[in-house]
Amino acid sequence: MTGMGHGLQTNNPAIGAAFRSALDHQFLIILILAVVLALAWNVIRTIQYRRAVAAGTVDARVLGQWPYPEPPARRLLRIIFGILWVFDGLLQAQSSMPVGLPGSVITPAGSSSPGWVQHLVSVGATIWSDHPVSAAAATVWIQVGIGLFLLVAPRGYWSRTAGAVSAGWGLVVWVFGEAFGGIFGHGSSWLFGSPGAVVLYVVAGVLVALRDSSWETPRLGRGLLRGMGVFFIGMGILQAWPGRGFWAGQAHPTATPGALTAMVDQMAQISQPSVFSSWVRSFGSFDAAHGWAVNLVAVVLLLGIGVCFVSGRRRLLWVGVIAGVVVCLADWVFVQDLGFLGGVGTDPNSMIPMASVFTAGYLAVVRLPVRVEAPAPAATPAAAPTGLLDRVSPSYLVRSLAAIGAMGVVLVGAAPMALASTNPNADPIVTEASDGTPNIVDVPSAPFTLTDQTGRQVSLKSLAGHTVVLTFLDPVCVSDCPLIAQELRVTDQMLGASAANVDLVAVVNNPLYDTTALTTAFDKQEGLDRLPNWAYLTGSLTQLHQVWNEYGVQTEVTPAGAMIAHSDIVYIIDRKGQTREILNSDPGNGSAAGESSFSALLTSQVQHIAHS
Amino acid sequence: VIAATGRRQDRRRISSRSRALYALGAVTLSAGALASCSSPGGTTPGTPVAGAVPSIPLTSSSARSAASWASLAMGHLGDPLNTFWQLFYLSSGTTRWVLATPPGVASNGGLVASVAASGSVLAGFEPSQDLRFSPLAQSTDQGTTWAPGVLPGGLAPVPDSLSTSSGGPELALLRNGGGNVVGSAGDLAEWKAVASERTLAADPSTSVCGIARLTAVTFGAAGAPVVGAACTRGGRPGVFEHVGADWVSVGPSLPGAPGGPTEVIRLLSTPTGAAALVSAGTGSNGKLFAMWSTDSLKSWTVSVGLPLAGETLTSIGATTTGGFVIATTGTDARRSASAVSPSAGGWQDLVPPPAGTSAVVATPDGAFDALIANQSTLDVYTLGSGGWNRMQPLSVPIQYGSSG
Repeated sequence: MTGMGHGLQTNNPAIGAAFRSALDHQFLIILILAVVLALAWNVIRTIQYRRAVAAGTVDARVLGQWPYPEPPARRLLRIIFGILWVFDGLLQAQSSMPVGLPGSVITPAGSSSPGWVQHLVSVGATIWSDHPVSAAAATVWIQVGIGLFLLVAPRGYWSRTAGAVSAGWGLVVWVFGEAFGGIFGHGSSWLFGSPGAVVLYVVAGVLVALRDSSWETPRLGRGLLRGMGVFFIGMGILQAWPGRGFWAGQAHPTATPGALTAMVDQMAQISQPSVFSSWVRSFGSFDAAHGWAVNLVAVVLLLGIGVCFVSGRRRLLWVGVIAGVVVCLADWVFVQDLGFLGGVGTDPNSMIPMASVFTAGYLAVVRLPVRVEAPAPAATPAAAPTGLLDRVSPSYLVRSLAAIGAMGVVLVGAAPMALASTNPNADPIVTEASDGTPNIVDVPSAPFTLTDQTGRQVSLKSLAGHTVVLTFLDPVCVSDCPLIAQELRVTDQMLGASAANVDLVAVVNNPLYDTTALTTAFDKQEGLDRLPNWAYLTGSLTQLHQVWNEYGVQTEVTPAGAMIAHSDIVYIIDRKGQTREILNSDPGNGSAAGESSFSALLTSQVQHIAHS
Repeated sequence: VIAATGRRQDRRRISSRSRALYALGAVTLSAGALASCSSPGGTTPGTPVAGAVPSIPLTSSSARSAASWASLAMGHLGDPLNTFWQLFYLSSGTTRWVLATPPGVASNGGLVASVAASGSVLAGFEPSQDLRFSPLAQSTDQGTTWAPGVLPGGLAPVPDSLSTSSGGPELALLRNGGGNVVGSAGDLAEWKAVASERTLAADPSTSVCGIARLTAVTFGAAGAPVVGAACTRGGRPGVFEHVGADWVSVGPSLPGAPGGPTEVIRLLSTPTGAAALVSAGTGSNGKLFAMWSTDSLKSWTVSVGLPLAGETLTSIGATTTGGFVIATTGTDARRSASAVSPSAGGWQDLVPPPAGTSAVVATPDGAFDALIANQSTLDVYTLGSGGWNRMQPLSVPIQYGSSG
């Protein structure tokens, strides 16, 4: 009934089933890819072996050898962020992600930001809402793929490409998913994760994408630590800034809590094992009682760590890194509550990435790579290897194929996401999730003869030979009916040339406002007067009641300024007058995704019936 | 991926340009990944019309000898979707108000009623949500049954945006532009353009006014359309009568009026001419003038000005004698009420109505009632010799949540 619609729940079973099915199908594709790559490895190795035996050059392969092992700082970043991306990808596989992410994560992230940031965020949220299953599944594979890519490709172009892809995707997520980490919003704080976890993924990705020569001197590490130092000092000053609520705890239980106490309380309420929530609650109680002192410690630590990093002196750098790691871990556990709990957590938040970045900076200063001279060949082979295949070492071959496989995993997600982004219509699953799947029937439709908006008599018989989309609309309805009308108008556009064989028909669904003057006004309001295949039918009250009864349409006059309560229903009638499908057309909360999705669903069903 | 701070849906579609940019980003990322195989790299219900000085409240009433009709907002007034405007009537000789809201249309946007001398009433619904035209309902049996009608646009949110005479014709003031006046022969379905703010402003006879917007419509004694307006120039209120093919300014000068803009707040036809309520001046200098014509708009009797002293108008009612009764709200939220009649000529301060009064209404029998809307309950107080006495609680079956 009108006005009784609702939005999707995060645990919607239809969306959940479609999400699992999409992940299963895509996993199958990835398995096939893995088999193909294994076969490729086997074939290439066989060819290599035969050619090497024939040429007597079994030990002469050089491609895939470097003058020094991977710098420790780079290895740390690559492995930590590789693991983080894989972990984030697995978190994206949580069943609540397809529906929950836009409303619970994306939109709130930008809620306190300026309008232009909210607009950017709404772009991401809208695309996700329009294509919840494909977007959620795509994100799983993109992130798992990037993580695997970083892990399996330690050196060379493959590895640097992995870093670039990591930085690129991180940037997309930071802008559209994290609203720039909230740096343009109110109340940002290092303690809460500002400037966003993913910007650190971007930094790490850029570092991994740098040339090997960048890691040969301590310049890169010092620059990175100085940058982090300035950032820490800035965050310390922001933390100390008066009037932002961080110096206050909570004087008594009914008093307004300070910013940190309020955040910790909020995090403690997230669904999670009791042991974690008890830790967070304990810290919240401590902060409520000693808010001023806690903030003082936070400010001093942030400023102190920043000064250590800016100094560039090895001993102070060591102190800064140790203090930084301890503070990051403490904040991660007691304030950020590990970040990934609650069903819509998308990552472990900012502290692990941050500690990894500055620790890598420290390693880049104190643990420089040592160049190793390659041993001279024992003997010059009779014939030097000339082909690319002949020069590839077995380990490099494995890593290259693994890297190709990881990129394949990324593409298994990226390709459908790119396609979804260019599709202006939401997926039919959105409507099916809220209104159920169409009811498939094959029964004769009840005949009717009514009057259209031009005064012409229209009967179901007169529409024979065309597929008929039949619905029931109140011409003075303020919410659902105008939305359904727009869905029908969009359906007509989506049908394209085949709309010429489809009639869109509505019957008045208001026993008090049923004149052709009203149907004409409604048509004009909704732009339906321009559709040649549109008919809005009315008749005597007796005729209308008969049609409503035969099509199971409920209509109830309610008092005191309420609109008519009525059913939202669409019938698809084939060319022979048989009712083939019945759809619930309640637009629910009237979301754009729901409207667009309904049009897409209706179009596909009409096309299916028209061609059957 | 979120910050720790993170944890409804805009119905507006994102622009195709934004979508294209995002799609471009996603495609570029995919393409980049491919390339890297080879190389790295409504008017809120109850809100007075904006811009008027003072604002014209939609809460209003009209008293005729047979019955009084009042329109006011009820429900959860802070929530537009759960604010429902209601129409009540009180028959002559009775003391109990009756709910008479026409069924079949959501009244969230507002409700306007025009009462003909015969007692027939024409109600119009202000647009709300996705409904952009105004349905109409006409009753000749005190709201027992209603006949539907429709306007070609949305009604202007002012009390006298509709005017009906017995059995037609009708006039309506639409909200588009600065106001468009349309007329119907009586079927409430076919409407023809009568005037617009633009055509009236271009007429030389209106230059003395400097029309800002149209604010009221009615019929003159001879059945000619009469339009009220807000004027940017002071001195004479903007009242214009359609005579032949021309519009004639028929507003009188207002003795003692402060300088500044004027605005016709109410404009009603009477058997011998018209009655109007006009504001002049702005802010604390603003005054209200009532004026009456009994010679087919040739001349007017003008009341003394009622200083508003910065108070806002809460409701405006017409009395059976062609007078007016107003309720105002001070900055301290206290209500005041005043009445004026053609015979007395001056304003009479009434006993301050009870706190929270939505409207002060004239009854068919010449008394005054205060109507207080409290969610789904209407409390009726009657002004007696000892002050305001609570006479009737009226429960209104509001359907919360029915508008989405």
